[in-house]
Amino acid sequence: MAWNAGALSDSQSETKALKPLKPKRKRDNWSRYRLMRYLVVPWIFLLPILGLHAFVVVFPAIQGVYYSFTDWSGIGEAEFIGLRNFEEMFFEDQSHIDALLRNIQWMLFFITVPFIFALFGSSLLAKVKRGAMFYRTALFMPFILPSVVTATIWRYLYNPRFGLPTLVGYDKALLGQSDTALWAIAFADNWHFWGFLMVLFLTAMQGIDPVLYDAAKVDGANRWQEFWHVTLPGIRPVVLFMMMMVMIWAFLVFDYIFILTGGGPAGATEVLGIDIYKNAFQRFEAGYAAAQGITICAFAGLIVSAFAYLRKRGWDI
Amino acid sequence: MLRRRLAVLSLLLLITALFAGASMAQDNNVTIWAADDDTGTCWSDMLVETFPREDITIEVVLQPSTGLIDAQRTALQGGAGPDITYSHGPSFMLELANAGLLLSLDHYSDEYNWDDRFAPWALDLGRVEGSLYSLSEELETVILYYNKTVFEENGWSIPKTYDEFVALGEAIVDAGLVVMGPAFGECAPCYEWAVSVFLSHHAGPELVYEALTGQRPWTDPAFVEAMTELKRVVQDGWFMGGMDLFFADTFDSAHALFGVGEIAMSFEGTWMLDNYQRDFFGEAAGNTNEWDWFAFPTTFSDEAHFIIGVGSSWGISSATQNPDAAAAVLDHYYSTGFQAQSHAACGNAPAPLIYEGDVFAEADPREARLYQEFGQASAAGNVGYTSWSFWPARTNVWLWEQIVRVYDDQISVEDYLAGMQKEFEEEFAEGLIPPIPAR
Repeated sequence: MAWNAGALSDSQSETKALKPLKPKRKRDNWSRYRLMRYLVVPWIFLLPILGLHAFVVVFPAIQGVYYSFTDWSGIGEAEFIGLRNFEEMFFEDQSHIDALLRNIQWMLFFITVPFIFALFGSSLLAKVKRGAMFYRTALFMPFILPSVVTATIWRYLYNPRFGLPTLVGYDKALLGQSDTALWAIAFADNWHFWGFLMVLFLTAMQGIDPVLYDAAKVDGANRWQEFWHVTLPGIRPVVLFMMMMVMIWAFLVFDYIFILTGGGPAGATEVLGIDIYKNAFQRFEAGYAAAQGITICAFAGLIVSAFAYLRKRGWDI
Repeated sequence: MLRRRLAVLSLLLLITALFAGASMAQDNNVTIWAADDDTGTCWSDMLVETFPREDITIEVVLQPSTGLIDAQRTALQGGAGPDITYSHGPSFMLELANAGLLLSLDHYSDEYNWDDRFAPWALDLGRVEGSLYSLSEELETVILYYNKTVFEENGWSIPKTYDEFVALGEAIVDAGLVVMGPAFGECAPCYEWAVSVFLSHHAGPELVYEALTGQRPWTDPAFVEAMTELKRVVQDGWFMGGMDLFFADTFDSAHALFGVGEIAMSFEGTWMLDNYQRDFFGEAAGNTNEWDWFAFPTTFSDEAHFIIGVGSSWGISSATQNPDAAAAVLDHYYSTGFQAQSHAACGNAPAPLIYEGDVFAEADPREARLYQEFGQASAAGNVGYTSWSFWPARTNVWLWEQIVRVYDDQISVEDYLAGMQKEFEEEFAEGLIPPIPAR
């Protein structure tokens, strides 16, 4: 290689001496080529999606931030009112605080119950050989059903006259009581969601080296110890990533609650999404609703930052 | 040479396209958005078919019924949307008019004599600072439907006063039946029906008028008494047999139970007139029961009283290219002939026009009686107010949202009304109260 390089170098210097302009032009062309290939062309390819992103995400987001500082009704002109919306949100509007607390309850539910279901289900299914695809499909199926279908099914399942509660002799409407409505909706949403988590965990489990299980067996590990010391560490990045996503999604929840109770009864299921909808479209306080939306983004940002910080500290996320 | 020819040809094509575009804009094409459901398709098809002018074309764009009005509002804000706009009612149209998104209809009202055609209170609902911006649609009131067969079997008679209504309710409970439906598990804003009725029929429409015009606070003892009574009715399980079912069950479930006679009465809007016969009584529903209706009794009179309201309002977008054509379409839509035809074929509630003669000859006799009695009550001033037509938006959200907290004992009746007064005062100061027709 060194010999070749030297030969090339000699040859180049010889050429340079005879025709000094040509290599320069070559270099110019090369630079222009590099410029086009590595700087301009990629941007040309990216331009359509960037334009679309700017149009449907960046521009409305900037508008949203702007409107959060106004008293905009949702139509017509907006008047700048500084931080008044944020002041009202955190110091005066009890319904916003209550809604936020419900989102946190929702988050706590969804970072525990579906994860337990999914980890349990995936570790059982990982051992199943015959009919594995059937079980996976059956458990994943609810996730691909539209939320309006799932929610309507659960409305009937919860009916105290002929639904599931009658099987255990319970004759009250779970969705009609302040202390049970939120958990009843969360359970219905979980029914649709945990299959998705299970499939992800199952896929991650298939990437674990079987040698580790063999070694664990040789060491005399039982099923629980295998799960705790081999499976869980093996799928930890997926579990933690999904935990982060679920925490973010918990602040965006809307559809199941809107369909099943609309935030009732007596505001018992009113989360931020429902409160924002009411403020924007029923109370004509779109500026205030935009400010509430900004706080949701801030929560999402905080969650992502926390995970990024943990990753920086060496966590395997 | 070829290039030059191509350039000239392109230029000619461009000019032609521009002229075509301009002429299309000048065409009398009027767009309307309608809900993509049976009723929306029915009336919009009928509108296109019966519209008499050939120089105007009506383009109906069917949209998903859920969120139709929100979507239209967003489109209007963006300078798009249909030529003829539609919204929930006067308080929503007031917002659109204040934002400059609606055309004044004064000129067209004179041209088409709408003053003579509409019930006076209905036309007033569309005025903003004296100018007409919207036309009321879907005459609405809330009445008590009753299962006639069950009433006859038990020997119950129709109550004329509120005391008689209370006695009837107790008799129904003693008979082991549920006093009334429906349930509002699918419709949080529907809690406004009972509040509107109890304010006007228990406290009285004069007091409500005074409160709506800022002469009396919502914290008045008469309103406290009315809301306390409503709370008792709900907490005693008169609706659906229990609060949990009242809060969670569905309309269809409640109507079905009413049809088979497990629920004796239904506290419902006049929009159900068509549905009860079609879906919940008679052969189609698999029962032989019959239904009828009566006006919700009052505490102060034995004459029939009704709360008045409109289900929606129509106006013309200020962005329209064809305001005259849009007005002509509205004029046809608001003709007594079209309203009667559309009502008979599509089952939608008629607009609050002055109907003379036997316009509703084809209607069910119970329905015809309703319009007759409603007209008489209206003429005698025996009318109260629906919150969705006469309350400003934020106060109305408070009204239906917080009343459930009263039922659930989370807040007191006094705090509920104090909160309503606070919201109302703010909107009153901002000039957001819909026009309240003088009594």
